[in-house]
Amino acid sequence: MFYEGMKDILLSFDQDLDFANGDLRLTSGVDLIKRKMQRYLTAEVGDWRLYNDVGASLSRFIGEPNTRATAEEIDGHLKRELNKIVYPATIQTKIIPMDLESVYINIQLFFLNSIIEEITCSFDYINGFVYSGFDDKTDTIISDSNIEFNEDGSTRKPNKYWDRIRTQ
Amino acid sequence: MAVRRTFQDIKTDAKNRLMASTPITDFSSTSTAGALIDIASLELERAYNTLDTAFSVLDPTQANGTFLDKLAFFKGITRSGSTTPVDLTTSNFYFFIDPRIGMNITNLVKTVYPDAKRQYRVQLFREGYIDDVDNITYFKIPKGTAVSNVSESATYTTIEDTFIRSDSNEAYVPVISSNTGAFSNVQANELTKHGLSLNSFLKNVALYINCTNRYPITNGSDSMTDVDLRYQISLAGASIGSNEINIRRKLLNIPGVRNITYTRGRYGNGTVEIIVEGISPIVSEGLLRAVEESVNSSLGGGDKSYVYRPEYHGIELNINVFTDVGIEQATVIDPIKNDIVAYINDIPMGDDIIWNRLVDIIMTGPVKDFIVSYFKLGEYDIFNKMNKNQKVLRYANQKQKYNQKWYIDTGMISCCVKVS
Repeated sequence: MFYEGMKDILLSFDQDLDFANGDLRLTSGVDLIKRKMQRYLTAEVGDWRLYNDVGASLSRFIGEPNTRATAEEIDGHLKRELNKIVYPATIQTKIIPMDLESVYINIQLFFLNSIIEEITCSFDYINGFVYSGFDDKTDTIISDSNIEFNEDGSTRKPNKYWDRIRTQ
Repeated sequence: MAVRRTFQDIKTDAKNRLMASTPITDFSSTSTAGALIDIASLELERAYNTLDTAFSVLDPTQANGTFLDKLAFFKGITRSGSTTPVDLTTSNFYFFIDPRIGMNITNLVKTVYPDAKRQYRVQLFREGYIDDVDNITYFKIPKGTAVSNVSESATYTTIEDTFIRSDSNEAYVPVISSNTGAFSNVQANELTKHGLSLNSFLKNVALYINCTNRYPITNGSDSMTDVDLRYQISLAGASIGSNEINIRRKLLNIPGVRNITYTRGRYGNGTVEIIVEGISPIVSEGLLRAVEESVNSSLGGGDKSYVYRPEYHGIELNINVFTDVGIEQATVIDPIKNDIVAYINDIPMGDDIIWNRLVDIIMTGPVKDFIVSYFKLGEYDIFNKMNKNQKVLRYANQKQKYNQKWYIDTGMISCCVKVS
């Protein structure tokens, strides 16, 4: 299995630590690389204060026209940035326009000419959002499973962090 | 602090421990484990920094700035700020009528503004600069008149009105520097430019009025540095009340004081004799007063202090120096004079003149040989700038007593260049 020797603490795709059996969950292999790529894609240079070269900084394409030329530029940019973390594998990307304001990005991870992982996300030229297609199936969304209403019946607990905030 | 750990030390240590006790291997920049270690290491480094600061602010050898001020405060010492040079006596700075014209103020004003120009005298009278249009007995120099050295690097201002009277051609006045700090200190006879000619009423008379300072004004000082303050803290334990160390410490802090001699009981029990050696060779009246005030505030009740300046021994020297053909006189004479002045005036009170040092100074440069015409010593009157009761000396080392100081200025050296 690829990247088997690399082991790290698992950080879920919504950027949280995860616990199993009273301990931090770990991750390794392709899953580890996939999570790293997701972190890289959604980060801006400067977000990681100690490492000034970390982050794909896709926001630099905000306001650009959704044209083939911009798509090629994003393509080159992503290859340059992501190849830093996937070595010895390589990256192949496809940028496909979805509508006037966004593109669909398909990233394939190659090793010895075979695809070992494929991930997708979309990028919005208007606000710079990167909508990743990643998801942790094991995450429990508390707000969905434990709906509560305020006394006036208007507001629902918005997310899983709400419980923590309320108990502080 | 014994051991201070940096971010990198802590991070490396944490990484090694995690690698040894968990399966985690990825500590790269985008790894979760790496990020958590970074956060912990950063915070620990900050904790070490805080500890380091707390440790150093309590240590007088390391503390600085306000922390050092607080430590000094515990010892009863405060950091002295910068001071402005000032001379409040009326025996130092003075205006005087140029002695070459040989007139008193009455004649001077009447010569500048004869009866044909009487209206100018009337103007002066109306403005209060003279007391009468025809029978002038004084000429007022207003307070706020700027005076400076030739280069105008040190500018002072008179702080009182002063009057040149018909029976005296001099008018003494206190002065204060326009700037703060030691940079504005001046040596004797430096404040020779005045701004009277800028006053439209006075400018014609001002042409014949000069000014100068008899003594140096050296009580300007820069604020105490951390190094100075540390030294004061180190002395604080040994100097309490009216003991010698305490008085010496206080006096050496007065701007312009180079050294003092302290003799207890010279004039009977409970007396202290202090002789002040200044940074400038001549000690001014203002400096003596500052020292006296400082001593009296430290002495015990009933004790009496006697503060004096050194007895000045004026040296006069006349030499003929021999050089090669074609050497300009000024390039030989000026350096010799300046170097001799610097050497002799710098000799501490009570120390000897070493004759060979003088020979060495004279023979430096293009001088091939020299002959001394005379080498004299006199009792130097600092007020009148005269060398009285002169004695001719042998060309040898010269000794003096503990309270005596050598003095020389360029006017007391005659130097003649001859071609050999």
